[in-house]
Amino acid sequence: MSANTLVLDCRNVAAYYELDYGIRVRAVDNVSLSVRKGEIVGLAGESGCGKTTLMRTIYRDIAPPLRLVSGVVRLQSANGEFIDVYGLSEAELKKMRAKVISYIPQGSMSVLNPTSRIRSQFLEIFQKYGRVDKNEALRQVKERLRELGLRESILASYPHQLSGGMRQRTVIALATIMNPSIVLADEPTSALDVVYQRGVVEMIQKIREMYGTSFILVSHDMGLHYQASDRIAIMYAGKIIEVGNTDDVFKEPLHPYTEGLINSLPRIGGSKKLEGLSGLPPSLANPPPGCRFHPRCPYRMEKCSAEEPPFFTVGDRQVACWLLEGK
Amino acid sequence: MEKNSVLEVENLTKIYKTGGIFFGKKFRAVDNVSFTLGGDSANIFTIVGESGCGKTTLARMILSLIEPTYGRIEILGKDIFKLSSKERSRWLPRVVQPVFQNPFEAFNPLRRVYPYLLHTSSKVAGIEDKNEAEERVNQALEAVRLSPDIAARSPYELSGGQVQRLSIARAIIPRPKLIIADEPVSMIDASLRMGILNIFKQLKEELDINFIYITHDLSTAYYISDKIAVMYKGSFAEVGEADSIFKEPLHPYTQLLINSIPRVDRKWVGKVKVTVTEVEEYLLPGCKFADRCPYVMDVCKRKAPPLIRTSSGVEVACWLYSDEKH
Repeated sequence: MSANTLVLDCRNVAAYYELDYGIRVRAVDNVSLSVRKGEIVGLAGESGCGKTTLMRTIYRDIAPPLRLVSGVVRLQSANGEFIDVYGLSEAELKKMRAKVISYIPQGSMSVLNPTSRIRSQFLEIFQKYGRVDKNEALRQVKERLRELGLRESILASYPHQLSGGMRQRTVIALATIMNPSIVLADEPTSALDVVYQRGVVEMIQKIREMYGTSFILVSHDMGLHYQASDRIAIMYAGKIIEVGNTDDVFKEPLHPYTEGLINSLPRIGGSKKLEGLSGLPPSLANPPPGCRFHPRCPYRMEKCSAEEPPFFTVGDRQVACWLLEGK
Repeated sequence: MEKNSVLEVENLTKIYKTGGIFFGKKFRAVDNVSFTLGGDSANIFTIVGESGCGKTTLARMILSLIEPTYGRIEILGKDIFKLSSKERSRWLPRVVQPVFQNPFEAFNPLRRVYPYLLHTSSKVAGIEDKNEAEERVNQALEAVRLSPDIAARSPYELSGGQVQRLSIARAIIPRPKLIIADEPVSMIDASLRMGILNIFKQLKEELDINFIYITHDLSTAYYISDKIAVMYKGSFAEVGEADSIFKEPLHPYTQLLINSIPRVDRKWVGKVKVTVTEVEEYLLPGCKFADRCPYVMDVCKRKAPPLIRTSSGVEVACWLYSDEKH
């Protein structure tokens, strides 16, 4: 397999919350995103921009009022063929989970069962998905913990006995025990202190190196993306507006929103007065016409409010902004 | 004791008991903290530390919401735990005001904001004339760059950033000398955070309000602070000018913290050692960072280090900087 093999491919995915009185909240609208093998893709954006909805759509963890309106989500299965996630039966979908795709929702405490020990939570996964007996399962769990630098004693603990950072790393170990090809990690570090944050990121990078696992790392923290991700996708009001190599995007953001976001980050050692972006993100039930960022954009043109910008390709970067038309 | 100090905190300690009545353990949430705030011009003093380090307990004591186990807090020369009940209800809210983390919890969700602000102006700030009280509210709204028609709405109609600005407006209506802001921007989106921090800077300069900014976010701490105290397990590990602490962190904990910030201009170097904090560690004699410290010495495990003043003016609680023979 070459390093550029795709493990996940989303094309023109739209997922709306369809509420009463005909209100449609267009939380994910026409999003395309692909993830290569062994790649950490950062998904950045402010709260309410649709990051979590996109993750749930990819995992097919959606229930009314949320509905997939259009688009395809394809995953590469173990034998190398691409499978349409929404074309699977419930039983087939269940088989894919944990082994091909794993999802870590936000908040480690809401993932772990508070009334059972970590050991039984690992064993439960083996019962569901693995074909080995208990002793063999336990041996594999212990070996994995050792590889990831976690203490074996956590197995005898209840979730509340672990610190937040340890709990989050336990959740990641649980989610990757079956060696899925891709893990969707939703805000895995958001409630942690910087030192533990760094510990979690280092663990994710280690898993990627050891097992070739791909990650989508959802976070609102741009600093975390700069440290952890290979590529970054910036989401605004339900749309991905810029995708590119993390270092390039930080060095030279092309979309005005990315630029505003990156320039509003405080830098240690910097003394410049920072302004932040003016205005507020739009309502997703009634987004502005044309480019959804145009009411806040400092460079807006007439065209921006009339027509939605397509993705323009600049090098290996894709940017949805009319400023880049013809460049 | 310094002249014109707004706040003086001396040997402040808060002990909580955990466990049962007979076999319970003591837990020092805040352990012997002393500092002074104020002087010729207003300052922003930041207390930074990881969750559970005692920073919120410290803030709540300064707001006189909880009583310390030992120690003294003086605001404008008055011990806030020896105030008469009249002073407590009238004088204290006019000199010290809070801004909390979740702005939506600061307002009654069923009430519009403006009447609430007006009530603060007439009752807390004690402005009897109705026009003057309204004038004070409008000045406060102007200071946080909100129009009065935003304040006329209910909290649920507003964004987190707007409601947080309103809660800052509410806090400045009595023209306090000190605002305690506990994680005021951690629930606000990155693109709007700076706007709120800029308001703090501006209030400091224009209205001469001192701030205690409590946060876990070191980059915003750098952005607005004059002075920073790094708190670790209830005690100050290092206190000093923001610039010198970030340029040259002295305490090994501060070094670990600063090297772990997810910066956007420099990548992490090397690996970090992560350990688990147990409640028992708060009870050990000696330095509380000893078990994680790469430079740990024998003395560190026996005796807690005092705050040592270095030549750069930074105070650091670490035996590495002590001349004492041990």
